[in-house]
Amino acid sequence: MSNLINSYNSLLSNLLIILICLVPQLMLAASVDFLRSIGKIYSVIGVIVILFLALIGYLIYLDRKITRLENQNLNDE
Amino acid sequence: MLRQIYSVFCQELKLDFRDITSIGSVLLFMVGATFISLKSFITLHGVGWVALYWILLLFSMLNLVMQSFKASRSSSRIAQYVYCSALSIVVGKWCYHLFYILFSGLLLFLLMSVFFGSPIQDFSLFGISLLLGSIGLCTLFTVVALITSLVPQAHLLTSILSLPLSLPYVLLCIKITIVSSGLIADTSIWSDITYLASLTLFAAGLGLLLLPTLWKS
Amino acid sequence: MLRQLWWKLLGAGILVIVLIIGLGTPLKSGILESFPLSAAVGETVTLDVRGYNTHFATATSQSAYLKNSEQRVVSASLIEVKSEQDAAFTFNLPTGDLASRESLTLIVNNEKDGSIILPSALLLKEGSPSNQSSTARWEPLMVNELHRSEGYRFPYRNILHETIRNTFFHVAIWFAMFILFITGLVNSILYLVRRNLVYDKIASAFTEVGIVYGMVGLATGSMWAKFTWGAWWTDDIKLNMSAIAILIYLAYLILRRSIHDIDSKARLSAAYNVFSFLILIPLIFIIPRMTDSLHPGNGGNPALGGEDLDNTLRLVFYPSIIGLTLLGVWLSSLSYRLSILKDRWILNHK
Repeated sequence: MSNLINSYNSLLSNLLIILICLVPQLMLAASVDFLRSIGKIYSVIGVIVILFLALIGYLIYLDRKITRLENQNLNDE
Repeated sequence: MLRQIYSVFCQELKLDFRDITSIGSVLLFMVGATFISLKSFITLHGVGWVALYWILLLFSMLNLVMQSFKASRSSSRIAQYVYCSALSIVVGKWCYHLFYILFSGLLLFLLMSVFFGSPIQDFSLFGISLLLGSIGLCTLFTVVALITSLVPQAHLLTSILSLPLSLPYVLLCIKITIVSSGLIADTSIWSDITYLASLTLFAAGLGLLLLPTLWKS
Repeated sequence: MLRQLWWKLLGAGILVIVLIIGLGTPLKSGILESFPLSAAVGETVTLDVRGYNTHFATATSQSAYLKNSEQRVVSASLIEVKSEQDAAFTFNLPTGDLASRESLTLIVNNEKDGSIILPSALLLKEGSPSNQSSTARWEPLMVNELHRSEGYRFPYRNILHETIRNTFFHVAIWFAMFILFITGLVNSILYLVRRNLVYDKIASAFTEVGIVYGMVGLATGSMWAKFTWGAWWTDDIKLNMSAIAILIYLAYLILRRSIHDIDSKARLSAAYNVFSFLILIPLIFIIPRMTDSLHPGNGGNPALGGEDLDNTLRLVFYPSIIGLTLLGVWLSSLSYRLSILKDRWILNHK
């Protein structure tokens, strides 16, 4: 059972690390493209932010549910 | 087989027409809805008329189907479940739904023609759209009602499931009916009609295919 | 296989690369605007041009043309470069046919930016007879004089501008959603054939993630629409059909939640999934093609014609679909494991 938890945690932490690496990239893009604002670059940034916020939100939702169930299962055993 | 279908059909008909509440509620719904729209729209032409017609028809259809399979749980209809096969019961109910929707469609057309005047110019095309649309909606609703018949809150679920699904049918029907009212000239209307028919055929085929999995309890 | 890490990292890695290339690659040069918008036949007109990503000042061989509908051009007689972005081009418009009315295409050409094209830049109006003194002539366009832009750059499109990068995220997520829904459908059919509850769980997991993807697709599309079409929500047929498709799948989830018996839940939801997908095919693929839409690729064309998606975009777009799909499979596998845990919990509590 703890094996299972570890695998989940490693997966989640992997994803988190990847996403944390993405943030500077996004910010860099936003600041570099400040001069390009006439080209509607904010729309692209907005789209990317929506996409990753939604996916991360869903991931957190799944993670919390899984954690809760695992804890309950552990308690039962 | 045919006899069984016929008997199911007759029984549904008899049960609905034996007490006046059933037929009365249809009439009341139609007249009430038409009158409310008369009071709120005052005049109604062309596209609005057609859209209102199909929306009212859709809801009256939904009204019927929501109670169709649920009512069949009652003791008065248990006999037919013992004697008839699943297929004949479903086809019988389908026939009854079709009869009902055609009846209410004609009734609604009559009422709206009286209150608003009828914009329909090409009656054969209107007839085709009413017939094909009724068959399509009927098939769709019957399959959905079959799916939800086992669920406790079947009322709610039937409308949730079937309203989004009925959209392509209703859109196509509205388009054909608008063409039949002469507001838009469309030379490719027959492709729409064949399209509606093939969609209905697919839905019916799939419904028959899924019937054994749905009818097990 | 499903528990291994490599494909999850592959998906995430592809997405990172898509993000870096998709945001880092510059657009090709383009013309934002030119003024005035109309001129009379035979007139001398000076076009103030505002460029985007252009190198007017650093480029050495500058030339500009106005092209008419017969593919004949008149070249600029005077070019005044103000900055990298701003320049003024003076044209002596030929008299030609005095009564002609047509819109001319502006072509600006230098060795750094390649040839930049602005369609219908100038509307040619009828001129008065006093303008007939012009000596300019329409001449055939020398195609070998035109430069090509170098390097890997995304195409510049009017109205879209930088938002063309949204293709990699907004369009790709719809494609990924379809792959997820179809996987769910296949699993539903497999359940109906083999009656193994595992397939039902997989189908539900994929459909759930597909719905999340669909909602993200709607939200991102709304964002994009605000910047290009000017409204969060338009009465566009594809938009409404997509929203209804999401409603249909939400109904699938509601159906699953409202049945408690595991067996009949699996049976009915699988049947509904198959049935609703059948209805969905016309909703997504056929009806939108029959009516006009703001989306590209309507009126009978395939959705991704050569005009809308050029090779530089494809190079990022297809990997993006793969990356988002892998991410979706990853999320679905988590959702699937969650449903297994739920089952175990129920078992423990009985």
